[in-house]
Amino acid sequence: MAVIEDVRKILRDTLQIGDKANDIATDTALLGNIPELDSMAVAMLITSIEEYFDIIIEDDDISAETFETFGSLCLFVDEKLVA
Amino acid sequence: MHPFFLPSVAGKIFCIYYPPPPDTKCQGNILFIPPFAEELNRSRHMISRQARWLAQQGYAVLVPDLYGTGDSQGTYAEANPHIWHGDLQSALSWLQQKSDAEICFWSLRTGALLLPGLLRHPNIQPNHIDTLRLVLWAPVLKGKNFIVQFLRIKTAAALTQGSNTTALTTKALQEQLDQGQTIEIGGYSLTPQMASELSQIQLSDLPLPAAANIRWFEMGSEDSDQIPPAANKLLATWQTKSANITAKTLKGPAFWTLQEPEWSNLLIDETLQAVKSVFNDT
Repeated sequence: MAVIEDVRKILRDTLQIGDKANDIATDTALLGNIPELDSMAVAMLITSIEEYFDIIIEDDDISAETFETFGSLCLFVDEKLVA
Repeated sequence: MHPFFLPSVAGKIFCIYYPPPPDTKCQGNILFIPPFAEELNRSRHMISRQARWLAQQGYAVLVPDLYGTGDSQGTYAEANPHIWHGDLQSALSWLQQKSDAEICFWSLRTGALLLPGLLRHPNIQPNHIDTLRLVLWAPVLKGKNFIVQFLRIKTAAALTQGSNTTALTTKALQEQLDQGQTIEIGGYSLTPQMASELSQIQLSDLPLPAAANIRWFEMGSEDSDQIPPAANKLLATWQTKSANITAKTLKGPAFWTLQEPEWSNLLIDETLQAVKSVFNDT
């Protein structure tokens, strides 16, 4: 997936997790695992992804599975860009 | 610093006054205009550090909690933008009674959206706005977009709590508001009136006098003379009316969104320089 490094950058900037972002792999769990990712941060993250990629994310597009792992989030963005 | 309760339009509001050092001439009055709900809670550390720093440099700073917020009387459910305009006007009058120095407004996020209503308030003295001095921290451009973002916190909360029932959507929440229901979001009540009135405000509604002196700061991943495209569009419109309006992006965290207090000392230093320049250039 071409978007991995872009999504990593967005996570790093939105959550201010610095170098911790470099350790995130595609199978790293997001929701429930990264303490910085509370509901306000998830809302920010969605908005940041929209602005960064210039896409619109409808609420129906996303579910808890989207944010389950870093890989699932990247896959979601990848599919949105193709769509 | 002096905390006190100021009688205002709907009840007493809690204020903190940061005076200049004793025996120092007041270099200027600064009124802080706070952001909405959790964004205020997450910014308190930056606001108080900035206010203290400005006061040490000879400025008089007043930081009010608007009606229904912080330690003021009332609740979010009882507040509305109209009351908040009155609160800001009360705070402004109080500041001007302490010192006849010129005034500069300093806002964070949706605080900027209260400026158009404040400047049109019937009790405002025309000389307060002949020369408009503003320092904007990451101003929200459109109330409508902010409300959608705020509703999204509730839909995101449903995700983080792992409820896999029918997805909660901002559209469904908007419909609840339209039907007159108040919505609880992260411990804050969003009333239909608040949502509708905030949604109608745009920063572009700001009445811009000929003498406007504005410094606009965004936070981002790198220092830049550029601000995001939508913000830049409004900035460019303003710049055609006044030469003394500048904006920049500073490398640093969007601290108003973060759980753990993050600092931006760069913003604090740049804000002091901005305040000095808005008072000196006019």
